Parts: sequence; structure tokens; C-alpha cells
Amino acid sequence: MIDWILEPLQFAFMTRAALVTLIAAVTCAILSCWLVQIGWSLMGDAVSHAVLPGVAISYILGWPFAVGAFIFGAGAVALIGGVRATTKIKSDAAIGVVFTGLFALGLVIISKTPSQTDLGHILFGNVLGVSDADIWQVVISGVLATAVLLFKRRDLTLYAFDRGHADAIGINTRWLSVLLLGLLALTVVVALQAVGIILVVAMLITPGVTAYLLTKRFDRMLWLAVLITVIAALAGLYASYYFDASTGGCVVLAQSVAFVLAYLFGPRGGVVVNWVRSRRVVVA
Amino acid sequence: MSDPVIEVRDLSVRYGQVQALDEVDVVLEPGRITGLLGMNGSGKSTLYKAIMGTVRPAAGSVTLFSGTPAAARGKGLVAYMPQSESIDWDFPLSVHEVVMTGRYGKLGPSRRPRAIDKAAVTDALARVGLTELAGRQIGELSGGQRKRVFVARAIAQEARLLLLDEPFAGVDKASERRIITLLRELRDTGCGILISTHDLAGVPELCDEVILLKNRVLFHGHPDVALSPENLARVFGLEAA
Ligand SMILES: Nc1ncnc2c1ncn2[C@@H]1O[C@H](COP(=O)(O)OP(=O)(O)OP(=O)(O)O)[C@@H](O)[C@H]1O
Ligand SMILES: [Mg+2]
Repeated sequence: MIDWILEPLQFAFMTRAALVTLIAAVTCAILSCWLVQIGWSLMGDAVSHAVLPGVAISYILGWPFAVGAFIFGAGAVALIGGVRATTKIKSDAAIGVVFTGLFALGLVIISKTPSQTDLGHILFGNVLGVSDADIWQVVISGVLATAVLLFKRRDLTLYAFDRGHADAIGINTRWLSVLLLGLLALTVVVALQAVGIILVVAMLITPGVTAYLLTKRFDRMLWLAVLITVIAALAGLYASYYFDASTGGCVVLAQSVAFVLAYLFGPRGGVVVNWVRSRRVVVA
Repeated sequence: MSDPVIEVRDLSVRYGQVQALDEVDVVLEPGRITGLLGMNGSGKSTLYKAIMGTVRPAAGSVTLFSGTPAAARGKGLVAYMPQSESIDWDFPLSVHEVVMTGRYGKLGPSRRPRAIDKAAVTDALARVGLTELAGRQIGELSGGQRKRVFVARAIAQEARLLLLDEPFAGVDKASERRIITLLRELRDTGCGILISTHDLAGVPELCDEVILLKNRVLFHGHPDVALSPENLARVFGLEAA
């Protein structure tokens, strides 16, 4: 058993993959609690797709990938906000128009540049091949995003719950929404390395909704989301090693399994639990 | 004579072609409960928004406690009770946690509560009679208990102006009575209270004065006069009996 656990860790590429995946998973899990409560899950999807041209341009110009990705992620948020503020287009449509346009721009740029950028790696992640420079970007961005989120957690929760009260007591809610969206862009940059553009959105939604099914307290929801996501990330990493399967895929799949378990057996919304309860009421 | 809590002068608010408020003047003194009556679309919510500073007026000014609305909000003087429909009752917060958000304006940037904040929340919960339910998730309360959570939050906040948007919708008579008693106690400590309501029958018991609104102020004065058939006909457009 011990051997089974230690064996993958002999390989430097596996310990790096574990580090990147865990940092990404924890940052995403914390952020996801607010995203799902505010109803911004789609924003996570939009930002993750919109960073593609930023990543491509970074590779071409030799910048750190995080810089280009963050510029385009934040730019997408600003564009979506601009379209919503200046037209009567519904918000899901505004999000859809902006992120698909930017994603397509990224595809065109990559198709016209020499092969050093591998589209597959950007789309689906390449956590087994991350370089030292990539790791530093992930560690710095991830720790920064997590620290700010936890420091401002009470304000963010109030913002999600009752924006009117936050306004009434003089909290700058505009600034809070900008902060949260900026941290979303930063978090997407982190998670990109672990699971790729397509699956980032899973890491930004699944831990939050899973934890939501398990508790009635937001503080506990944060810790549960982190706990669940760490277990799922480790399970996914080992599964990918022993079955030689896609790492990003295995990690997200493990999170989905956790969601299904919470859905079936969770004390709050669990279908099985509710069924048992309703039978008990009938019997009693 | 003390300074007014609200002083609205020549306030006009327009949404595109719609004139929601037209040259509205309202002065509210501390220690009074004022009822705000008007039909749907008469501009009640718009007046709240203008007082809160969330809509930009086309003309006129709003002064709170002789200063700007932003300054009053920054000092935690203004409490706003949202309409029930605008609250997510499934949100994973306890009664205690929601009341604690009333203290946030007094706390540092991370809003970590101190001992006096916890004591203030405990006190506020006791005053509204929710001590036993402090640990409940907010959705696990009755309609009347839910309203009392927000009254407790205003008490914990030590607000001097309470803005209540239809606080009695979906509340039974016993709970309504209890909330009215609490609001009167707050009034007696010098709070100014503005309440919009559609419950005409409850107005004489609740309010010290009444504003009749139909995009302009039609009347501002004693409840008995406000509820005269002529005035009701003017504000609600009914035929006078
Ligand atoms: N965001 C908006 N855009 C355009 N018009 C608006 C907007 N909000 C309100 N109005 C219009 O302004 C007028 C006043 O609306 P307001 O919401 O203040 O009324 P109210 O007195 O609160 O009504 P109710 O009793 O239904 O709550 C109405 O004619 C309404 O249609
Ligand atoms: Mg209204």
C-alpha cells in the first residue's frame, strides 16, 4: 500500500504535477463557493475560454503565459460588462458573444503560428509537462488569489447574499465585484496549467455546488470545498498514473464523482436521504 | 430642534421617458415613523433608491443627517430592509451571521468581529426574540421571523435611519404587532423610520405621519387626514365615496 502511494512520487514530473494540480484545485474550490452563490458560474466558463489568444500571444512573444492570459481574462470581463451596460442584450448572451469571439481569435492565431504552441496542451492541459517557470507562475498566482479571497471572505459573502445592505453601510460593492472578477482571471491562469481551458470551468463550479449540498453554513462550505477538492485531486492524480489516463480528465472526473455522492447522500439535498426521511414520516 | 434625518429637495428622477419622481420635497424628523403610500409605479422604490444613492437624480438633492448620503452610509447610519423577494433564503448563512453583517461598517478590512460586536449581536437577537433560533439557517424561519432578522440587523448596526420596503407583506398579525412594537421602541430612541406599505388599515396604528406619493408628493401630514376619502381618491385614483 505504502509502495503504491510512494511509487509515482519518485518521478519529478509527478510531484510537479501534484503540486500544480493541488494549488489549482484549492484556489478554484475557494473561489467556486462565491461564484455559484452569486450565479457567476458562466463567467468562469467565459474567462477560461477568453484567455486562449492571451496564451498564444504570450508564447509567440516569449512572455510568461500568465501575463497574456490575465490580460485577456480581465479584458473579457471588461468587455462583457461593457456590452451589458450599453445594450439591452441579456447577460448570458453578452457572455456568449464575447468569449466565443475571443476563443476563435485564439484559434486563428495558433493556426497561423509555428508549432511551438500545442493547441491540445492548452485546451486539455499538460500538467505532466509543466516547466519550472510555469510552476513559479502557478504558485505565485495561486497563493496570491487564495490569500486575497480568504482575507476578504466576509465582504465577498455579504456581497453574494445582500448587495443592498453592503451598499447601505458604505461598502464599495463595485470595487468588490471588480476584485472578484480579477481574482477569477488570476485563478483561471492557475488552473489552465492543471486541467486546460475546457475543464477549468468544472473546477470553478463542482467543488462549490458539492459543498453546498453538504452544509448550511458558508464558512463550512469553504472548508468542505477545499477538503473535497484535495481528495478528488489526489484520487485523480493516482488514477491517471496507474491507468495512464488524462490527468486533467481524471481530476475533474473525481470531483464529479464527489458531486454525485453528495447529490445522492448529502444531508441537505440528498435524494436518498430525503427518500428515507419521507418514508419514515409515512411510517410514523 | 434636531436636524432632519432626511431632507429631499426638488428631487426629479427619470428613466428614459418615464418621470418616476417629479420635484419631490420630503423632510423627515428623527423619532418619527413615516408611512409611504402610493399605487404601483408611484415611485416609492425609486425614492428609496434615490435616498440610498443607487439612482442618479435628474435634478434636486438628497441630504441625510445634514451631510451627503455617502457620508451617512459610511458611518453606518442607514439601514435598509430589502423586500423579501429580493433575498436568497437558501443562502447558507445562519441568523447570527446575517445579524453580524450589521456590524461590518464598524469593523476593519477583514471584518473580523470583536467581543463587543458579538455582544451587540446577542443583544439585538434577544430584543427581537430570536435568541433560540440564532443558529438556524435563515430559510428555516417563518415569514415574520425572517423580517425580525433584518430588524435585529438594523439594531446591531445602531442605525439612525431605517428604510423598510413593505415589511408586512406575508406576515401574520401577531408577528406584525411584534415588529411594530420593535419599530416604536427604535423610534423612541430617536430613529427616523420610513415604511412603504400597501396595508392601509394598519397605517393609523403604525405611523406618526404619512406621505402620499403619485410621482409627486400629494400630501404629507397626519395619518387621519391622509386617509380621508378625498385624499385616497387623489392618490389611488378611486372614486370618492
Ligand atoms: N429601471 C427602470 N427603468 C425604467 N423605468 C423604471 C425603472 N424602475 C422603475 N421604473 C418606472 O418608474 C416608475 C416608478 O417605479 P417604482 O418602482 O419607483 O414604483 P413603486 O411605487 O415602487 O411601485 P410598486 O408599488 O409596484 O413597488 C414606474 O412607472 C416604473 O415603470
Ligand atoms: Mg416598489
